[in-house]
Amino acid sequence: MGVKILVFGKLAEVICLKEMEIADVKDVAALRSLLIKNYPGLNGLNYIVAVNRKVVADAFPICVGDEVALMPPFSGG
Amino acid sequence: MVLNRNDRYSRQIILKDFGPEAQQQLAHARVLIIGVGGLGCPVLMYLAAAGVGTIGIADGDHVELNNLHRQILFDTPDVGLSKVQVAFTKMKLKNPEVKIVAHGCFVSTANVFDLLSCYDLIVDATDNFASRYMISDACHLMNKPLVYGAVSCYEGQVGVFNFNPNGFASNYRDLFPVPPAPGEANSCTAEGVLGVLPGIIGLMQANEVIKILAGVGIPLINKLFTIDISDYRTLEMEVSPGVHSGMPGSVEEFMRFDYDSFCSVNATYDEVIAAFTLKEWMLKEEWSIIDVREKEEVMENDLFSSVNVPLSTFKTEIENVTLAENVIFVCASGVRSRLALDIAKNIFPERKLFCLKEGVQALINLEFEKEN
Repeated sequence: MGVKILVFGKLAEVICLKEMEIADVKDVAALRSLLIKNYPGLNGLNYIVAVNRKVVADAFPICVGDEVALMPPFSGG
Repeated sequence: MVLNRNDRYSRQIILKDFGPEAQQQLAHARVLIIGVGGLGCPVLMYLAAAGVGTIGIADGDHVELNNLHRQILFDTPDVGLSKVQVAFTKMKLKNPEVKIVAHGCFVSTANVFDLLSCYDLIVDATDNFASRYMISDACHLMNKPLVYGAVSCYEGQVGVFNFNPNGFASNYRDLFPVPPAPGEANSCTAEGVLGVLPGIIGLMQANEVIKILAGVGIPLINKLFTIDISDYRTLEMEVSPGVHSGMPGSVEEFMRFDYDSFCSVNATYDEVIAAFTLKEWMLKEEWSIIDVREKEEVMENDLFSSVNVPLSTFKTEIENVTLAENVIFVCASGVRSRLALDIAKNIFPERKLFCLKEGVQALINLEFEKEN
């Protein structure tokens, strides 16, 4: 079992996936770095991270079995 | 036919947990809907139908043909008319018992406090980040509950900010402390939107308003709900109240805060110029005016000469246009021209590029002043 990543909005367009699983990552900051390395199109994109459905800061630890959501802001109306 | 006044709301009054008291609370409430577009139309129609006593509507825009597929309050003969005036007339027919107050202006730092002070609850139904941050900050400073909604292509977000009868209330800045760069987030104009999406999200906003006012159900307090209507994937996430970093701490700071600059980190202050500045500069140097509105928005009698390169096809078309040394992008309100500027800066790094503050109306007004 790894870490389940849910991808929303424009991020899903860049990653070309709405959901994926990664092996292991220390915290939110490490996840952001890993994602930019694997998907350079994410560089400069603004998004928040929710771990187990709670919006968290970059220092928040991520454990195996967690569900992580990547959410960009929407502006349309 | 004689109408029995009590019959209008009978189907919601008989609802379990609702009753005549909840209906009274709706009748006494004053709600301001900012933006009468894709989100604002359904919010307004359902709140008026539900019997919310006073509903303010603020929007300085006019109805356009490309609005009609999602802004279902407006009909084909309404094209060209003031949105709030059309909405006012139609809501009087829908429910003459509610008071509709039409504010035919865009909300700005200059008028937001006066507007908000007349209402108990605010609905953010706008379509740009500068307005969203400004409204959220003003609601925080004035302690007004804010029902937020936003859409992007097939996805929508709903949340309730500045409201929590049981403790700390979170703010839009707790969710998104930093605004995205221009062009980073999808906009309905550039990327499109399925008409039903703002309908669904607007109805959820109306639902949150009714729940808060009537005291029924569990509103999305300190929560962001997201739905993808292409596959019905949904997610509800908790937002922790934070330190509101970067938020103006007082009314004075708020008045000095430049929300336009804050939300366009890639467009420097120098790149966004006012119409009168452009007019002066055009006397000295050659300029190309590129109008990035969609083709159907551009009027034949616009009083300035420009080349139309719609934002929807901007990336592919702009390279084929012969440009002067100085280039200014213009649009209806000054939002899309910033997106165009951002794209163009990558294509023409050597050229002097600008965008027009407040859109073509500012140019037209200037020409008009000259003629009279």
